[in-house]
Amino acid sequence: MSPQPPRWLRRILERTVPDGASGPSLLGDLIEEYAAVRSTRGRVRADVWYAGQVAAIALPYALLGGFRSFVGALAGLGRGLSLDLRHAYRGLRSNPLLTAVAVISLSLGIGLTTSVTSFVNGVWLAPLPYPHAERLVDLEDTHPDEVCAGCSVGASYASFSEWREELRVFEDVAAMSGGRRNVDIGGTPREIFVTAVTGNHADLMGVRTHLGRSVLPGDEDPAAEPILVLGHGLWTDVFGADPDVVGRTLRVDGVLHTVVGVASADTRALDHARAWVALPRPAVRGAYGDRSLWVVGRLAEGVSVETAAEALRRFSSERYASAGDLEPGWTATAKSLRAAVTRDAGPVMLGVALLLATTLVLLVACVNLAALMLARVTERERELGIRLAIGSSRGRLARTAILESLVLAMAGGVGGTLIARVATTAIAGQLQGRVPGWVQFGLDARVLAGVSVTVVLTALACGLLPLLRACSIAPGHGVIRGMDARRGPSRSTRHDWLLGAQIALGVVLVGGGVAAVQSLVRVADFDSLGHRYENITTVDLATGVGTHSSTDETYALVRELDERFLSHPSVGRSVATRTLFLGSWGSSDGPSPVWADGAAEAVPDRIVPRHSLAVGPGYFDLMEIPLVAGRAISAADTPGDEASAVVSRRAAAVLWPGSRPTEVLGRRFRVELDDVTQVFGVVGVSADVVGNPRSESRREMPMIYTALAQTHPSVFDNGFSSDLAFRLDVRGDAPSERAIEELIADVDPDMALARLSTVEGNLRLWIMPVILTAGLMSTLSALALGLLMLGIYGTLSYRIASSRREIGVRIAIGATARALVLAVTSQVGRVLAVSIAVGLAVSIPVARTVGNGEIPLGGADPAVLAVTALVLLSVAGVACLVPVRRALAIDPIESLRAD
Amino acid sequence: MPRDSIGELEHLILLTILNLRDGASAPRVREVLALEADRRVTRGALYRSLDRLGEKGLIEWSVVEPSAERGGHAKRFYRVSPVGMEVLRSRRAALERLWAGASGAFEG
Repeated sequence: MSPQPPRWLRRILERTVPDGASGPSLLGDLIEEYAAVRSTRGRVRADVWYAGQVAAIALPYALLGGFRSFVGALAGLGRGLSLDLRHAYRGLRSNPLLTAVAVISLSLGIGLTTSVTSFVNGVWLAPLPYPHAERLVDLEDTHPDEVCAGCSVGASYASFSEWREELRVFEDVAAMSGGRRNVDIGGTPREIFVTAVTGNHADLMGVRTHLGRSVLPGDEDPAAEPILVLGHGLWTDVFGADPDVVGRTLRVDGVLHTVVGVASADTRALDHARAWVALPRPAVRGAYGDRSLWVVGRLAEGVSVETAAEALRRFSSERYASAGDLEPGWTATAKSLRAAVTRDAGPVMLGVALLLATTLVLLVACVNLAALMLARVTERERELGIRLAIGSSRGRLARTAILESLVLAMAGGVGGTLIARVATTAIAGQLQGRVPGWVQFGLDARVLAGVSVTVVLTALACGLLPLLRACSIAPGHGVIRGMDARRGPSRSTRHDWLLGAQIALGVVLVGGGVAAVQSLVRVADFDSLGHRYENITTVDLATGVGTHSSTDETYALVRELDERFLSHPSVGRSVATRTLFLGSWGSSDGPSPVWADGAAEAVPDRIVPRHSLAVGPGYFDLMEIPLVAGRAISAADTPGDEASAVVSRRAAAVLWPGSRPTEVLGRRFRVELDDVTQVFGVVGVSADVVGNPRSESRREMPMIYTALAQTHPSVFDNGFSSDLAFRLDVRGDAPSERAIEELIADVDPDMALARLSTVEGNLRLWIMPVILTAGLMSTLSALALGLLMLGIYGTLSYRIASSRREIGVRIAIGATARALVLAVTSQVGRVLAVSIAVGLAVSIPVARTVGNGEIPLGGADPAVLAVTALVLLSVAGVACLVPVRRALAIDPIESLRAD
Repeated sequence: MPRDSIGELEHLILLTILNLRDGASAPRVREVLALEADRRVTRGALYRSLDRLGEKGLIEWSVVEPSAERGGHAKRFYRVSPVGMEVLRSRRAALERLWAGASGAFEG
């Protein structure tokens, strides 16, 4: 007999090559060839040759055959799957309470995770919606002094033009300067956020036009005709999407502008801009200190932010030092535009913490679902035992368990997506107009994909434990009495672990919620701000004051407006105010413009009462700010007399250190600006007020209140003082925007209402981030608590249901209600105590590492920890009530008979 | 695919079988293809092509009884069927017509 190739290799070939056609012939031919090879090259080489042939022939056949078998298997699986799906559906329908609880908890978990993920993604994580967004950087001046550390001061045109022309680390640099401007539309003045931009802005920020053109470099020419590009929203809202709008002329702050284009709908402004005008090139170079621009650059290819920042720092330090008109220390810095624009939204860690918190909630929901499913499998042990005994495979049972979870997860996913849709729409509606254009908030494809992955992971997580449980049931369990199904860890242990995990996670979440609410309560305590805040409406006017250039004219205007406002039936008092910026670092450098009498130098800029106020008569009465000494600004302070001022206690201490309030009465200080110097005499000293309710320390601000009627208009002319505003003491219904607009138009038709708000509303805006965080965290905590309640309820109910016989026996032999309650709840109580302790222990390091006051996750404060423990214990107590009542109501005879 | 539609490899295999007359076993076809047409094909490709030609009715075969030397597997000797001969003839006529028309390109 001729030599044969190795048997095992032959077998492989025989199994893979099909029987029909040339198959047998191929096998025989190969064996013949093997014999020939072996006779010439020897056995080993022949075997290797044969193995190579087997691999070359078998692999394509195996792949082809495998594909056919796979298709066949799928068809078979499909048949089995539809049966299992029907079974899973029937199983879930038979237990509507469990199904409803599971779907609701999953929907809430998934919906919330999606909404918060969308929010965090939109604010902190998603790339900015601009071309090459990763290469966009924010360029601005900075100074190491405490006055400016971390602040945003912008840059001057002089700096911008040098950076654009001389720094090669930037491919392009654009500048913009936005603000609310008075735009006359069809004879109606409207206050609209308009941003002046350089001609390369459209190219840098990817602004495309729907009609006409965008701002071009030629428009920067000071001699060029002023042009206006409308934002798409403004065009549709105000101009009714008029296709012939291009070519129309509009007055912006009184200057005629020609509309040359409409931006496309997908244009996202970096600020709140609703229209753009050209930023004219100044005729003279200007000072480095005139910082009024927001400068954005695109890094050259291959240049990192750090390299660019270093180049910018060196370049600017050198230029600023040699210019001599700036204090030493000024330089410029570049940072990623993403980081710069999210600066106001809070640290990125806040977003991460919110994501973590929502993930924890989803985790609690998953664990809860797993516990419920485990309880369900346990309840059905008898049925599963019978199915095993009559030949069903464990795999089949496990598949049914997973399918049930999957069906639940899908229902939860659909519910979650709906909740997320509603929640994101609601939040987006709330944020509209309050956030810059770049914030893209909504359900996008990526978030939806994230939800899908979450749903699948949830299904797997929830299917895992019931799967293990289903696999450990002995065939015939429950059919033959006394047969024990347990082959793995006991059911109680698994339940306890699941419950414990939920409680520990809940403690971290609830701790964060309690800390967030505590922080909100602290900042929302407006009563301790030192002034009245209720029932005061603020009317902010847009421009117009500039045309009333003398104190007499301002005085007349204020009186007229006061009278008009007082004519409204709800307005009891009306007081005019105007913010008075007395600092220096924003527009020019050096010491502040405030000189106290007898002092050799101006008040240092770092401590000057920079955010001061010019007020009309009755301001202190209206705001209920007590006077410590002297008198308030009154109607007697008229133009022509020496200007009067009231200083706060802290301002008095800054201007005349060591003096008592009564000692500063009659003293003078002067405000020195380029073209005007005005002297003010102190007529009163007021109590201090807190400026920013959000700041942790609630520092009281030094304040100077000058008499508005006497303050020279040029004192306000520094680019930082705001327009005229009125504080109205409102009784009953506050006047509508329309009513106020009409009253203003009666006095001056060119004057526009900038904003109608309330003092209380403005304070709430200040603390909005804290409100949002606390709202989100308390919602998450409430959800976690709800889930915990369900978890504890489910666990106890399950425990009581499975111990009916034991409870029945105990009652029959005379157990007291107290002993019964103890017996039923002792195990849950132990789990609760241990897991709360573990949760609190974890909570402290979590709060210390992740949280820093602004980021509420976990809790390190003893009061927070105590409240957290108390809340959890109360929730656990409530969750125990129904199952315990059910246990006490068990009829011993009935339970024994049923068994 | 119509039964008279054959690919280049199938065309070559049919011609090789005709060349080998009665001794056209698969290993011999493979050798001759390599020697005469410089065409090296894997065994898998060759056997699948033979099966395809069989399905189209272009080849037939006789079977030699299984032997122990061949591990109990039968051996096939292939021949071109009358249909296969017809297909080869028409293919040759087509090629000759095309060559006649194209011969000018090779002159001079």
